[in-house]
Amino acid sequence: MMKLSKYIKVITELTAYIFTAESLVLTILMQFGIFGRFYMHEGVPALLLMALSTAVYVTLCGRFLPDIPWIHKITEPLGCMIIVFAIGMLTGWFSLSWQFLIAISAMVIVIYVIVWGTFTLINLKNAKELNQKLLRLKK
Amino acid sequence: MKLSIIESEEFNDVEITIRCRGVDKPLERIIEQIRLYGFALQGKADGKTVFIHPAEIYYFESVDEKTFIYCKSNVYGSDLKLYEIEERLSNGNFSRISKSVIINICVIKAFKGMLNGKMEAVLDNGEKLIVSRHYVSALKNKLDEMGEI
Repeated sequence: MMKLSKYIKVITELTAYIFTAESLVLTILMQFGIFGRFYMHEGVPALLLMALSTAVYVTLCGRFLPDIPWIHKITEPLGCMIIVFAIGMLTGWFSLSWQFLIAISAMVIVIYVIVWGTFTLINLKNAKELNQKLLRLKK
Repeated sequence: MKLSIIESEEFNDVEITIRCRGVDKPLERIIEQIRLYGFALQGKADGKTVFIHPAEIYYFESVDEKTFIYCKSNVYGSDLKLYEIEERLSNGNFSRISKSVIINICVIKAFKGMLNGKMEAVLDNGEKLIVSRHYVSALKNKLDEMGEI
């Protein structure tokens, strides 16, 4: 069982990944005129809070949900969307409209894919490299 | 490298002599392996104490400050802390794969990268252990070192 310090480390790392992905996606969207009313003093803390909350949620999903990939692929993005919406609404950043709902859902999915894609690629590359070394050793 | 093995009824004990110009890194590891040949760890189960040879051990796990020795089908308790075991077996075939687990590399069947971002080490007996990302690079180095012999 992971200790609290380990959870903190995992959550901090994941928060950093999510925050970076959020910032990148948001910057791109702002170039196209979407999220034009983004102000640093209110936007950045809200983004950080979203990143931290989703990181905590995803880590808890990893700890408590059964290790079945499709369950994670459904519950994690869905939960992240709810968290992002709740924070966005509470901070007054979003309004409840279809336009925002579609834009934010798409943004959450894109960020989820970027973050987990990065983790998975690093992971698969490492596993492949370790297997090659193991095979060489067993020969 | 020449390898000579002399078998005879007149020898009571195993004696290994290495003749070399100097001890290099691969030879150092062979010497360590030979030293581990006569080394056994104390394990406890059901009030009995048993001596376990490192080659029989699959992995060590620390749970709630207690250390356990996992063999193919048996589990024993140990009085040693995980860091003490790591120190004693650091030149052997053992490597840490997470904060709480030290694994015998010889029993690893394969590594499996999971889509949920985790990595698993699949053992000969079918058991699966999580490999922490923080220990991947140390594990690569260990496999490289072992491959040098």
